[in-house]
Amino acid sequence: MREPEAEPAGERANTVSEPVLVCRGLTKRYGDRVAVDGVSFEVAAGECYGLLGPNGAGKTTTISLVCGLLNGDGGEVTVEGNPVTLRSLEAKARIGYVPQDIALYPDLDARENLKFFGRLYGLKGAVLDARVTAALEVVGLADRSSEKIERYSGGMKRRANIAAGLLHEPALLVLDEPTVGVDPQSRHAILETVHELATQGVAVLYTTHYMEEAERLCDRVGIIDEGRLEAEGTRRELVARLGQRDRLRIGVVGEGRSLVERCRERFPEAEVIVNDGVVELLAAGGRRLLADLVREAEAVGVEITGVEVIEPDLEAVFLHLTGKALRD
Amino acid sequence: MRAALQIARNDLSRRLRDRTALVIAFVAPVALAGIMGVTFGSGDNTALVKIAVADADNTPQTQFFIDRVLDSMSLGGGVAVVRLTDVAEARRLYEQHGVAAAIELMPGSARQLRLGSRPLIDRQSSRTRPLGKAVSDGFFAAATVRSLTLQLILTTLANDRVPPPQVLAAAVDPANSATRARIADDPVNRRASPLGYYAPAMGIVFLFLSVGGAANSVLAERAAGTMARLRAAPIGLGAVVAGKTISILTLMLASMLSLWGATSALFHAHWGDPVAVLALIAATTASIAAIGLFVTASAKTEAMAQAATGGLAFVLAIFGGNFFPPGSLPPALEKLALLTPNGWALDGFTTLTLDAGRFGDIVRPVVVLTIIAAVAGTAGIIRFRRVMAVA
Repeated sequence: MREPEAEPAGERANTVSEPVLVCRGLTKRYGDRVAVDGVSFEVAAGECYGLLGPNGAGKTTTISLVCGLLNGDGGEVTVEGNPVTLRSLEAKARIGYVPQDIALYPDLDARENLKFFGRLYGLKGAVLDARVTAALEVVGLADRSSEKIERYSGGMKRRANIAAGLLHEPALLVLDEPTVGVDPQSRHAILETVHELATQGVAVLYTTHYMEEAERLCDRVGIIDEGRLEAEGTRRELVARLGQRDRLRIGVVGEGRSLVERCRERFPEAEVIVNDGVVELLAAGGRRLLADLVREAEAVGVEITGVEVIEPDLEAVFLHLTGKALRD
Repeated sequence: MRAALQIARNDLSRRLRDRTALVIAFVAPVALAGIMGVTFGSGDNTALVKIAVADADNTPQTQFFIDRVLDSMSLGGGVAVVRLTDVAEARRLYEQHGVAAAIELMPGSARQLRLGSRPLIDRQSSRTRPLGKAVSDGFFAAATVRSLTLQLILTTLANDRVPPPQVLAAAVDPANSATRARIADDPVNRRASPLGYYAPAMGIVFLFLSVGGAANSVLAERAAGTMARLRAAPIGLGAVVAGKTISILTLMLASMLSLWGATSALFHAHWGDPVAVLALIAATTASIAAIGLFVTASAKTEAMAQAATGGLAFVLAIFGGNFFPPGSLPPALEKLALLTPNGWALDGFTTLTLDAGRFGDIVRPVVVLTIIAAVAGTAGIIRFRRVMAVA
């Protein structure tokens, strides 16, 4: 299996084809609160599309609309051309849903769980047995299939949860934060599995609030906040929105207020913020300002404890677009 | 339908595995049968109520009088009469709860009869023993109505003459009696027993108590997250609710059938015509399952659903008459009972076990219970679909 890191965001775009999932103007309201506000995006076969946003951004509601768990207040979803609603059985048969919670019966073993859910998708007999075995092999649980889910570790439960979404060989695999609360090893295994499935031609919609996962796994990323899709594109396209701005992080003793004021006078083109003993300076070609910045710190008598130059990443894009950090 | 059956099968197999199905369907009903069998005695004990009739004079006239009055009441096999000649013994039995009522023909009753008057009758009864009170009141009323006719008979007997047939017929014709006990007197009904009545009565209460737990599995699926996966599957919301309902119905049917089997096999309780009993059990179970489904669908949490179904079980049992002997409810409460599924179910079971009814006699309760099941079930399914649509 190929390491996902070797082919980061956007690099697999040449393998994608016709859109499997099409969302147009998705809207969902709960009373006065708009949970999803006119969200539109597409996911092609073989593409992994990431919805990146903090908790409460509207990712799970968007996924619920995509999977036909909720009826929306506006917009439309189609999977392979079939509209998705609560009652659209044809479209649902082509979607593999992996919810954020472990949606398995803890008192049944993995094989029993998968057989039950497989039957709901019309599988039976030898075909069902073969699909269950194959799904368990994909997630690396074939040798533990006779153990009850309640005896699994958190990571194994997550992998079994994914297997239940693969049984019917869906055209679209929807995963809602599948790595929450798992150890690094299991996370790595899950990301590898998802990457492999996309390579095999499955369209993947993947939500996460982990910037690293989106960067590592997804061909394209949609940045969602407060129900709105703020931007979407490959990692390169999104980072380019920052205008090649570097982020300089300077650790200081004390509050560093005097340094911030000095920086704002000296570098008016830069965005300067201070937070908990760290002064951040965001500017195009920011690394060229590093020497001047150190001199200004000496001039105002601020003691520097550390200096870091950060390449633009999705976290910076998110900060730029929404004015807040991903984990706010 | 296939998906609904798969969901029901999965639900039942999980309940079998964690033994809740065994408890609801077999262990609890058999235990309930055992408790009631010990409490009420076996079905061979044909009496629902035992009364004492003491004849202090113990003369042919008073004995004849007592026989005719009892005959006219058509008490049947459900009432056992202990005949005594000692009034004090009758009172002692009453005070020690050996009998539900004591009727005493006091000394001088034979003379009263010879004079053409009513005998001197004293009664020991209480509202707290309603069946006994009903029988003793009935005896007193029948004795009053019969006294003139009987006096005529006794006079002719005293003169060594045979009374005219029409006089004898009038004296024993139950249709002319002032009161009638509810219990019919026929060969089948001679097997009527308290167990035959109380077993279904308590079974209904148990069904209500267990339906909450069974219906809660829908809420449990939601809490565990598996409901989301079920809803994402290409099966429709109706199949999920139908599957759960089939599972609940199966458990409850098994529970009532176990109770029927256990009370019949172990304690010889007679529930009545088997075909009619089956129909009544099916209709009763369906109505209770439907109400349980509706209540559970209206609750937000499992705890709320449990509390609601438990409370409802007791309220309906009290107003439906499950805790009272048959025929002992005041008329107003008897009407109120027919607003509950319990009341209709008991009406049917009483007809079968005490009145020796057949299938044709319980069509009305079966139809009413089926309508309750249809209305409550439809409302429950609609509510569940709404709940699942926004969950």
